[in-house]
Amino acid sequence: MATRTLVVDNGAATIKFGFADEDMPYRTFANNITRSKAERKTFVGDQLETCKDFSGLYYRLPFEKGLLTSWDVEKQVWDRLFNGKIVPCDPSTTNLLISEPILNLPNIATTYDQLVFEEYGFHSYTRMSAPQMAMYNEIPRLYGQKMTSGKKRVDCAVVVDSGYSFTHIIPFWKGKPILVGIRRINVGGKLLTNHLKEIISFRYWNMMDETYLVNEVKEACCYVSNKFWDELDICKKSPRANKILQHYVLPDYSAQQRGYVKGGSKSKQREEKGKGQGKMDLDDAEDETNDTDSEAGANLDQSDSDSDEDMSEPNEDEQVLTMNNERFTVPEILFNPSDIGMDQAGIPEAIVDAISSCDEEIRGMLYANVVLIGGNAKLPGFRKRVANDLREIAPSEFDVRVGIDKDPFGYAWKGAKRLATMDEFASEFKNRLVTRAEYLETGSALCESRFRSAV
Amino acid sequence: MSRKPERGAKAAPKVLDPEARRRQLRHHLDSLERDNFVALNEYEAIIATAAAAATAQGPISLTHTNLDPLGLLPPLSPAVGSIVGGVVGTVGPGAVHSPNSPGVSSGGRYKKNQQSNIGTGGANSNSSNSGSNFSQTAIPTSALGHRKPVLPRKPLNQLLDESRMMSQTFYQEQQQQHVVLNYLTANMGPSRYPQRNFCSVCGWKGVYRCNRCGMRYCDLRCQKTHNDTRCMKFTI
Repeated sequence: MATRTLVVDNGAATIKFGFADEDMPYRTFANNITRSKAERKTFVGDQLETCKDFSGLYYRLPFEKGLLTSWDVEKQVWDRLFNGKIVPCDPSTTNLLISEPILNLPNIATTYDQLVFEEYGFHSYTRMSAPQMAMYNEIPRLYGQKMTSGKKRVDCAVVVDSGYSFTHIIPFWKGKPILVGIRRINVGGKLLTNHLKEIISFRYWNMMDETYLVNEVKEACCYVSNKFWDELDICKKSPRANKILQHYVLPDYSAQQRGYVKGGSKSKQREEKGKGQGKMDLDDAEDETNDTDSEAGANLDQSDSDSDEDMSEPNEDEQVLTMNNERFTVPEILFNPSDIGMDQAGIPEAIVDAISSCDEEIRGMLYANVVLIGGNAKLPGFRKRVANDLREIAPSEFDVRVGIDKDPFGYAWKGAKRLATMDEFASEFKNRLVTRAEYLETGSALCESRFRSAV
Repeated sequence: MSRKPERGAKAAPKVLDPEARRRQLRHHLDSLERDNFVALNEYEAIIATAAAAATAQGPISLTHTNLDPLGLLPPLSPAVGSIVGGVVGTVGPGAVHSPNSPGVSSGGRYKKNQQSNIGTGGANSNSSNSGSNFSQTAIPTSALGHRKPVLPRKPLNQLLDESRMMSQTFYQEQQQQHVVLNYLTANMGPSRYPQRNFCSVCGWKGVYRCNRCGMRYCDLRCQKTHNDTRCMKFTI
């Protein structure tokens, strides 16, 4: 019976999935159930693409603090995915390769097993954490080198996975994670978006309801700065001299669906991506009344010291959100969680801490093979900043190389796809799989032991 | 602690002492972890009474009664407690609601629901209520036909507690390991470098601190804005 392999990267924010044997790139959709107050409809997972009005979207996420706790939400999303509505997937003839959070709790892990086998009836499956999936890629390519011939994968690397819920630092040795070296920083995309929402709501418009829109704004405008204090000083200047100031045009529903950054030159080679939806309320009201309010307002009335708004071009109905120092102070939290009062070290320090807890002999190799993956790694300037900061605090005798793929978001998925398809990994892959028959005989403990000890 | 108010309930203390400021900070950080960072002041009363009446114990099946037949109310967002130590009750009696600080309203609501949902062990019992809200208005629940699985719906803290016990027994078996690494211990420790302070109003360097509440500001203009809008506007 021919089996296909379905590779699913089950993240807290989005699911990346695709069949391993197809050449198509992975597809992605949001891993949650959203309800739109405006349209009075509920969208499960990818149904969100059919939504027209993204204001006041209310989320229900299956993940909580990075672990899958809300199974009924997740199940609804998985129903759509696995029951063939999105991709032609027949569970009984499919191998499932699914990702789980790092350091997953054992009781949650058994629920994964239960659901996969008993509920959907997959033929066989394996689960691994996303950084482990990423390790199957050709990592030396990130540094412009080729893989040493004869070797399937690098001996060791440090994977920095900065995603929605957290940021993890995991050193790997020969494909297995070095457990004592795993570190977690509780800053992720969700915290950054919430923080940005709060700042914007205090300084400009009240966007406390508009999670989706603020997420778009974050992705469109934010970047990681390399010269933090210098750029902060620049932001204090008048708009003519202030190159960092950016305007994000907020959409309304009648004319436009999506927002964009006005004046593309400041946006560091990012095209004006059409993103964003949402409405603005002038007051901090709970009710979501529509465009009528927004038209009445001037561009900014609650603005504070740094946003002198004389550079507004004449626009009839546009509402503009000004992004000044928020553009780079928000991602700064990844590097200094103490900025908002969190008592944790940032990414570069955590990397040093993680590597220092590993054996002395391999530390040099670990410093030379740092890989960044995850959604937050897409921020412009991220790699350069990590490399600079790490070089500053790492011991001077070691070489520091930080690599990032063109698409850090899907790097883990690509690694898993290589695992599932390439011949070099075929035996490893087979050893990891647990078939349904075996599960029904022995139970969850088999899954636990096999997934941990394999490779 | 702070000076006791002379009359009645709500005379706010003049100055916040460090303990209160720490509590405020902790509450703020917790609120940043929430999924839906939304002020739900006006729903609080409705939902609290409804929650007391709703069925929310133990494992639930996918179809059960819901509170809100029309699906108009947004479900309660579960206030996620602090993860370290699994302590859930760090949020004190947050009673004052202000539009600028929606996190506080969650604190107030959180406390009320703790009182009203005794059976489920507190923290995320609201999620089961909200589950009910969704399942009515949304898509048909089980696309699978014959069996409706009973999914264990436990709050995260309960799961954490259970697994901690599991890992402890594992440790006793495995006595070679010196460090038991799991979800809780992988947390990164504090930084070596001192904290950088930013103005809470504009985001520049926050050199000065408000006398009363301890939030930072950078110059006189920001101080004025702070006093007008945010100073002592909410207490925990």
